[in-house]
Amino acid sequence: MNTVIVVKNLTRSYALPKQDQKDGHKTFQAVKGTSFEVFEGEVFGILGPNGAGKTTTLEIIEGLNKQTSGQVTVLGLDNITHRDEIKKRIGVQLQSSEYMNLMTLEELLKLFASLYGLDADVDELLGFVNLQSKKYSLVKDLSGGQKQRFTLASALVNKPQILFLDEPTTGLDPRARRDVWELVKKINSQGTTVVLTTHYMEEAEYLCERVAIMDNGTILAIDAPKKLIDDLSHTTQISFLTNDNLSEDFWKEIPAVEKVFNYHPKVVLEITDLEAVGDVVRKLKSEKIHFSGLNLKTASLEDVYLDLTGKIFED
Amino acid sequence: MTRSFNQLFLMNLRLVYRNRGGLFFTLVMPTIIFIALSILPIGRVLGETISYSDYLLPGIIAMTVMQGGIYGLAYWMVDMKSRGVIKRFLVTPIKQPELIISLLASRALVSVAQAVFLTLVAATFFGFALSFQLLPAVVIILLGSGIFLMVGLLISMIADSYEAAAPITAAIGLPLTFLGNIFFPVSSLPGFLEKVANVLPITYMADALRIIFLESGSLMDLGKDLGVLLAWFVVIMVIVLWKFRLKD
Repeated sequence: MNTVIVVKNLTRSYALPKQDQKDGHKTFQAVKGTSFEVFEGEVFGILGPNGAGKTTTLEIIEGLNKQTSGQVTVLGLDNITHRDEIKKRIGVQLQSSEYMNLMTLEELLKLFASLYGLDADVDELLGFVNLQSKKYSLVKDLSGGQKQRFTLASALVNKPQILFLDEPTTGLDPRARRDVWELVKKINSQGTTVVLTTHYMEEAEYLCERVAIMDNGTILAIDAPKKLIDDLSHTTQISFLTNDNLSEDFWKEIPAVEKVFNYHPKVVLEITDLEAVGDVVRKLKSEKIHFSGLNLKTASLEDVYLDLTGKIFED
Repeated sequence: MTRSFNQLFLMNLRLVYRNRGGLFFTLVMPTIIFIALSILPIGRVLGETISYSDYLLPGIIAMTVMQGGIYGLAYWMVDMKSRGVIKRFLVTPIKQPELIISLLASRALVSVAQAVFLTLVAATFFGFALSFQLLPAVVIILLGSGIFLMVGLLISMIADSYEAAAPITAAIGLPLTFLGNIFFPVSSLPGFLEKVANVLPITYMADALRIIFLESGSLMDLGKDLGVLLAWFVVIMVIVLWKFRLKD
């Protein structure tokens, strides 16, 4: 398998404004020494909450930002010394999908293609994202989902070898999100490597062949979503709401309860054996604990995140 | 001309003429001010031979050129920046000088069009005689336009939002408008303000346009005006080349 991106010991620090400096810390480290590789033809995801360092990492690879230390090579080219060469060979969809509102889609595609010294195949690009009928429409007249599909088309004007998508479906309704997912699959199936960031677990599970879980500037795990889930020792999660404070000892008679997380009023139990659900419910009843919202869930990427960070993943 | 320059140049022209709100400021407002002040009985300023309307026309042209840079371009750039559009350009292999020059060239062309429009209004409704030389008029308008557009670029580099840009543009734009030889001669200002006015580029731009429009002056007749404008142009261009970088 060919490696198309290599990131080694990447760090990025920002100077803190005076009023935010405390304990002698003058800088804030957004990325704290991450390393990973992306293989040709895959969909690679960086998953993490807001502020995890995903966008910073992506922008360093794309040539919009520079690392404080560490090496990045894209298609064999160094990200600092060959920035312009890299830009010619990648496509980028930014988090914001804003354009000049008073331009038509056709005009914008021609403009962006010209920046690469190319002629845009406007009909093919718009056909690909199902926006042929909007060729002569102004950007300001597009819906949110249409705008997002158009940003995909505009990121493809130079037929990039790697496509970067920064939170491609944030703020979209479920229908529009589905559309974008299918487009990403289609782009990838034509041989384009895709690197995306997301804070939607479902998106990472559905789209990504491999996913890096990132939190607080560090990558905690990299693997196929299914593999990450299978590696978790527990298989099932029970959660419920209660006002009572239950200590960990409360559960010690039920050996299948492996981990207890108290997020008052929510309690989350990880159990290794599905049979233990009955034991848990019987125990709560017999101790006359008032509870509600009982929920049973098999493992997902959210549990991987919980397991790695000890925090509940919040969108 | 490269393909990308043409596309960027076209983009800017399209954005100017499709922006209805912006057209109000670039065309309608200066025209209304011109017509209103021409009709009002302000009287004759420079002896019996020149009407106030004729005196005002070169001033109003200088004012619209100034506003196109200091308000028009600065606000447009701040808007592009705050909505992330500049970043969208920066992920492409765009050549920054090409973007900047296309921006300045297209907007300088708009300034010339504004001047033509105002001149035709003056000729049609207020008896302004179209007997001036075209070349020096175009040279002065392009020179002034270059100065104020580059000032607009520098403002957009300092300001990240409309709220941050507004006080800066006002601090620069208002003195240029009221002290800058547009509505009345600099010599009628109190001593201290007259000294300020004598430094402002717009003072010399308006003066040069008056020599061209009212005395059929050629480039040779513009001596000091042309020199001061060129000096301003070079100084600001050096600052732009030295300091200005496109940032998201």
